[in-house]
Amino acid sequence: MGATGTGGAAFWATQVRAMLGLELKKTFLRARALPVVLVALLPVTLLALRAVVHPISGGDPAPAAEVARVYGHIFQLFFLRLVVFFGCFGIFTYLVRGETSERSLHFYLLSPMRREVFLAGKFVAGLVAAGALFSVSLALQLLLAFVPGVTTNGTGYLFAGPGAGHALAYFGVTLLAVVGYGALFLALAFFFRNPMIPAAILLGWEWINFLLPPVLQKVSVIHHLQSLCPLPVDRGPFALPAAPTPPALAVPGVLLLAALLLWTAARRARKLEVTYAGD
Amino acid sequence: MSGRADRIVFAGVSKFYGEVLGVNRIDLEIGPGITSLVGPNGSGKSTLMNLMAGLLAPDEGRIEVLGLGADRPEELGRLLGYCTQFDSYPRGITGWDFVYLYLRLHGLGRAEAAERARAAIERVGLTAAAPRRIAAYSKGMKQRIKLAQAIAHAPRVLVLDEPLNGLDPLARAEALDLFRAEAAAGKHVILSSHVLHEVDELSDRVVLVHGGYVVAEGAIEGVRDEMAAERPLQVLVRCPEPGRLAARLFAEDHVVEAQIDPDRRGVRIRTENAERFYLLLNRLAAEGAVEVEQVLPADDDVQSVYRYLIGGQAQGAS
Ligand SMILES: Nc1ncnc2c1ncn2[C@@H]1O[C@H](COP(=O)(O)OP(=O)(O)OP(=O)(O)O)[C@@H](O)[C@H]1O
Ligand SMILES: [Mg+2]
Repeated sequence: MGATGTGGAAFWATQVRAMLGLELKKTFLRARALPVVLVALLPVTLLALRAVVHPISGGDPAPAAEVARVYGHIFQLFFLRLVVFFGCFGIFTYLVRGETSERSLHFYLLSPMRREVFLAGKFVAGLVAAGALFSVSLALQLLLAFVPGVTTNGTGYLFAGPGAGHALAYFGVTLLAVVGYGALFLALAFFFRNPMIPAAILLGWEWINFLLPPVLQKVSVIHHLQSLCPLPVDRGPFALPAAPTPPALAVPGVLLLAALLLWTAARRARKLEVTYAGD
Repeated sequence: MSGRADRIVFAGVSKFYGEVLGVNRIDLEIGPGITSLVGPNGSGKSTLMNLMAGLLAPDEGRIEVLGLGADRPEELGRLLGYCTQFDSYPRGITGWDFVYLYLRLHGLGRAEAAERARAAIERVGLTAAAPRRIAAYSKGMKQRIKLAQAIAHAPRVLVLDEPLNGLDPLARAEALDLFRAEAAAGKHVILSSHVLHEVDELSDRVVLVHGGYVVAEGAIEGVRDEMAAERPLQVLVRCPEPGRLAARLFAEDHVVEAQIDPDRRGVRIRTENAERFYLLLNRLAAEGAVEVEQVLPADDDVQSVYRYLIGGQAQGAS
């Protein structure tokens, strides 16, 4: 072989890059991925409808600051909690469970690749796919929310006003969410044959988060993500106020959680066996 | 370990799927050349192959492939090419991508990976079909693209699970030529089949597998199919508690005779139904009711096959 040995960061990087190419073809650029794309574009569709219907129905353009406040709710309650959550669930669990359902896992396990690199490759592939998908969705959402005719001086607000900073924060939060939820679901998929149930429990946990005592609120991904959002969201009369975690802690917190989950999954991956031959 | 650097070694290997016995107490050494694992359905051929490829970890015992232990599965990938029994590929992938993209995982650059993929695909005669999706291939073409994938990285050990399944006579002859060429180049070629005469002429060595045990192994010179299930059988089962096994076996109606061996380290069994006997023995071993060390043919019939297989010198059995 041209390459010798199976070690060294440069060699592992080459393998991860090769995995990206492979996953792109066999996992992402396929009709099977369409449902996730549709879910990711759901908020875009809704905002597009508004952009079309609002002027027709004779509504006046809304002030940009008001639109920004409403969009803050859409972002946190709809996009982050549902779309990104379920999108990551679909993408990252399929990266693992798909290998068993298509009976193709052994091709990876037979390649001269450390199991840790295999895991890293899967994670990076998921990050790239989910990161790209949700970033595009987010960009379209922002453009449509602040489209002229629906929002007074929307483009000015978005590109030159306070909207620019918000947008930057939203992109950052989205990518951080992909890292956090991605690691979570990748790990789940390594431990559970059917990750649906633990994912449902997690969803519940993340949703009732704001009702929990502040200490427990911090034991969640969503709390840290919300702490980083530029505009506060009204969470109803029952919410227990918890001080947002400062960015200097929230970002490393999510990254640390992701690293911990990936480490656990890597230990599991080392013991992977292929038994689908018999079932 | 120097003497083992060119051998695949199984030492006391057992593998259970939960309660189900895959293989039991396997001691086996495989050298270069063509070795065929022959046995009926469910006898443990694929389990043995998955174990040597590192896709399964043994519950007991140790496996070494050309001096490489199970602790470095990633090194094994470079050394070994594997062609599974079942047809499975990532859905929607083309023949070319299947070989090329997985080859890239070896850390090869684009050009080298492409060159190797091209050569491997040409070797199995699928150059024209390579741009098409595997899902649209015939059974024989699927076999061949799997073979191309297995040989593309030029491994020293080729593990091929029922590689002749679904091949027409011409493709079969070409595949056999390929196996011979690999063996002539000093490689280890390990095949499996459930019909002895399919592989006998080709193989330097045959390992007969039945009910999770290696029942006979050796060189082979001709054709003989002795693996019929419902035939009488005499075997010697070596175990530490022969009394217990004998008592348990005697209750079965297909067991005609269960005699404790004079050295008190085994039971000599005569049964009218080999299949049922092996199933029973597996169940007992899986339940932990008895500990089985070794199963040896002690039957005139099996004995003759056995003698035949190893070229006239029977071993092991009395
Ligand atoms: N994943 C699995 N789960 C449970 N039992 C299994 C599994 N794989 C194999 N077995 C059992 O292990 C035994 C050996 O199976 P194996 O697949 O190794 O046989 P084989 O010789 O390859 O058979 P075939 O000729 O049908 O391919 C059988 O009893 C089988 O039922
Ligand atoms: Mg098999």
